[in-house]
Amino acid sequence: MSLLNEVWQAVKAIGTGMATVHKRVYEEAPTEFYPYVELDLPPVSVQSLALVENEDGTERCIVCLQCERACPSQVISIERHRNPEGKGFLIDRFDIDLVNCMYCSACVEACPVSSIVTIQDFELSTYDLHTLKADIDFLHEQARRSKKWYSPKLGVEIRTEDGRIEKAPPEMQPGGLAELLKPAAEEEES
Amino acid sequence: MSSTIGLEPVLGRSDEMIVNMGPQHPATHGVLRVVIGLEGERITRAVPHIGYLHRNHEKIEESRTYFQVVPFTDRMDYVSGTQNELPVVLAVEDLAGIEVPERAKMIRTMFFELFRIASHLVWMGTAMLDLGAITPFLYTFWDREIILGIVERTAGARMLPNYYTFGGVRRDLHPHFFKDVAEFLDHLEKRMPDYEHLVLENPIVHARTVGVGVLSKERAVARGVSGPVLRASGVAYDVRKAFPYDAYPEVEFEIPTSDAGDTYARFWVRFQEIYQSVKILRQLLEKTPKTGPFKGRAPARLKISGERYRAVENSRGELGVYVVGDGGDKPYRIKHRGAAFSNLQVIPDLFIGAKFSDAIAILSSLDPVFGEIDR
Amino acid sequence: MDLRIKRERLFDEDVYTVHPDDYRALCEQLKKDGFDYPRAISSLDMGYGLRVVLQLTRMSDLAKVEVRTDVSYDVAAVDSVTDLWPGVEWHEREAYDLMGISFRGHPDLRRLLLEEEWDLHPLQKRYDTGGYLIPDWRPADWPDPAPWQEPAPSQEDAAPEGGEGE
Repeated sequence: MSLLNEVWQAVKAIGTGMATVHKRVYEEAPTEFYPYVELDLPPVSVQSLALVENEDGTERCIVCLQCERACPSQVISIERHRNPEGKGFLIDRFDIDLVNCMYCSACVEACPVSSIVTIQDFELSTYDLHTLKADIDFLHEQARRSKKWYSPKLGVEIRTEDGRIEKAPPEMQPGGLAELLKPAAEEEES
Repeated sequence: MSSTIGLEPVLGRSDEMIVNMGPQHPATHGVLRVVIGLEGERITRAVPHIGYLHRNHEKIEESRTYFQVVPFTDRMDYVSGTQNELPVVLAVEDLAGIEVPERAKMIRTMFFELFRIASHLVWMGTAMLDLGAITPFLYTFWDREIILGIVERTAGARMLPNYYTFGGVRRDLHPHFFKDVAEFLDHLEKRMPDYEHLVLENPIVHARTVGVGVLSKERAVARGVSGPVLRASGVAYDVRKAFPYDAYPEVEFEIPTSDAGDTYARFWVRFQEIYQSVKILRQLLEKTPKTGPFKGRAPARLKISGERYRAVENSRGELGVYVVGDGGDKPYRIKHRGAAFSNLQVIPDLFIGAKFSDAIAILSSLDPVFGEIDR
Repeated sequence: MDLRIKRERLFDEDVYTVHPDDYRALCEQLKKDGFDYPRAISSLDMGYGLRVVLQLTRMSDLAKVEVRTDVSYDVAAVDSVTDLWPGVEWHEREAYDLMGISFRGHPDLRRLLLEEEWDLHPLQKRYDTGGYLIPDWRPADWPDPAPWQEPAPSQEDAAPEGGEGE
């Protein structure tokens, strides 16, 4: 009797398991064919860092060293000199060691002018780690290649087809719900 | 110098065999090494060794400012993301007197519970992997992927988001956050019966876990275990109810407990916790204002003096932190009380007398994460 | 029993600072009072000595208590409380490992996280983050009213029962 019961239990368990597997076979797979399918990462996703220039090619960074001070892994090193004409500072050297960076985006939080931003380019894999010691040209190039980036001060910005930099629509912004809900509330009132 | 394996052979006991389990044994979670004395298939002695993943977080954090400490805490219990940041954030907020807006508290609690579900799903997959079933692992990671996607859309990273900050959270919610979470909860509720079929009602799981590794109520309390391991031994101690923090006073939920104290009870308690998390998340989705402040006023340079112990109930138990400030902008000392660290101490209690194959099942029911144990 | 002890209340915890010789006696008393759940043992380098902080909870009414005791660098040892609360076993080993406080009567006092052969205790303030001795580090003087003595002015009223730091 107990043997029969055990056999029945085993058959039932296998049946339940097979039924569950059967159900899942027809669901859409969560995996993606990575190199062939372009991943649509959210605009706040922190995959790499970049240094944004203005539309006219001038430097946004004012070399205030806030990012260097904020960095928990201490991978940012900046050298600067006083601007001989006018006020402020000019960059001598701006290095980020992307190997030791832990992508916490503390530097982006600290930046007062939204110059250093987070971008969604995750394809930094390399055979030579020295290529990841990013200097200023590397960081500018990263920004020129990216279509959208995020910084807390200015939110998500996008680069349009003709090279202008614009604020992204509220659907892409963190906290964009406030703007999205506003017209609806006004319509309800009227 | 004593032997480094900590387990000397006993003279005249030639029937006992001393076996190393780990640190790279494929059936253990992470890098745990247990030196086991075996008599036939029974375990006579067990000495756990940890520290293979030690990074001395506590010393590193002494040389960082309070703002820089938060991303380091993420790296402790890497399966449950933002949950690690909360004790430090709460302790510093207490000491510095920072006010947190109600909405920020609710956002924090929602992320906290999302990561609890994510962590329990990882546990479910890996525990079944330990017991020899591979398919549940694929399914649970599939569902966890959805949670990580929701987290990434708001917090910017999937596993180590560095999202909480003093006075609230770092950035506002993604516009689709509420819709995403509601959809995910519906999806999860459809999936949970499947998981119950595959795990809790599975006769093989029953055979391998019921009555195995029984931890009595008194022993569990004296050993200082917490979380699902403690509740499976019949103690209804949950930091969320005992010392409420954030938005937990405003939501209703129960503490699932079981009196059995065996491996199956620990499995069962974790399942019930997923249901409770779903319940909490549903209430918070209703209650949280769609718009509003997400961050209170916090000074840019925190200077703190005094000391404070704060604890939260993370997926593994009481995750506490003891912050001591000496008036500077860097902590004088930060001590992390790891939940899994304290839970892992019961290994000798549970292993001795069990069969070797049961040891794997017991270990998976403790759900250790070595980033936090070794720190 | 006459304990050399200072009582305080910080936030939601009763804090007892006690002479290292009376540490064990106080712990036995707390065990009798029903504090059954050991949360953690933390260790601190105070600059003049090392501090052990034992944190306990009473499961019946969730009262929290913190026991502190300070020892000097030269005799960095206190009595172990592993037999009262087995759950502090690894916490005591961790304090020994990282801070160099030895616990008399501990059943298995070995290093927990670091290598057995290593002979420095990295959380002490005399070492920098890299583990090197800080050259001009000197221990500070022992504080004048000792940590377990009540401050001089209000001797009787310094132990408020109701709690002021809520």
